[in-house]
Amino acid sequence: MTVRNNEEQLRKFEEYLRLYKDDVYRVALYFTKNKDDAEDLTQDAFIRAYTFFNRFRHDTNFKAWILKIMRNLYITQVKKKRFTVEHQDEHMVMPDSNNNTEKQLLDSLRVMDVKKAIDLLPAEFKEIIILCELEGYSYEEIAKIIGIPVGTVRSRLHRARLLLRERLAVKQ
Amino acid sequence: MKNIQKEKTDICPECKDLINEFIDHRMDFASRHAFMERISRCRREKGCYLCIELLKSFMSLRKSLKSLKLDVSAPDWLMRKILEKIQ
Repeated sequence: MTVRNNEEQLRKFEEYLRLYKDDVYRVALYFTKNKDDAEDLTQDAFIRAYTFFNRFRHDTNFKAWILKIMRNLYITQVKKKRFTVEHQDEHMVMPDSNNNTEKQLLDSLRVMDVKKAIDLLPAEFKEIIILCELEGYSYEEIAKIIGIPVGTVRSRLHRARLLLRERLAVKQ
Repeated sequence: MKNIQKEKTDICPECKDLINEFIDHRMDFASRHAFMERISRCRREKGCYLCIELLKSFMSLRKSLKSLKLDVSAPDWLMRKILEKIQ
């Protein structure tokens, strides 16, 4: 590859990095629940994407492609037990009984219940809820990220919602 | 003899898909309207509330999930670090 091509490739990649680093970081943070791990995962995903950037077709969705790489890295690292420590969710809003009103306290407790219910979901349902409900991706994008048919996205989403409803109904 | 219908406990597969399509804003205005008509008819004619109840609970679930959305960005140094590594 010529120097000019390399420069052009780097410039294009930098553009994608600037555009999507926050999206990748946020999903990594939902997955790992830890700032340091999310930073490492984001970095590893972009470095890996750059290695295979010549294979990426620019008429397709870069965001779905980079998220797929990040998800695969996450799964590999979970298998290698890199994330063995159960982290306290750093972005969890903890209720402070001294400063909050009763309503705020109840809202915070409700948030904790929902969070816990998501954490208890099987991995394949949890990621669907994160991608669809929290990040707002379309069924088609989720299908590309996870590598499953759109129909499977739809049915997993339905089952995930039913499970969450079941688990949260007891508390309502 | 009066036909005694067995109590329906499972939502029909077509409605199951439509509920999710509705919740996730994947329907155009006409389809949304047709779906609302359909579940209203089920309630009126068959006394079936399954879809309506499910729709309500999925909507309430979505509201609860909203509170978990993170509003965070990757730290500024991360982009610099990635660029350093790939150059």
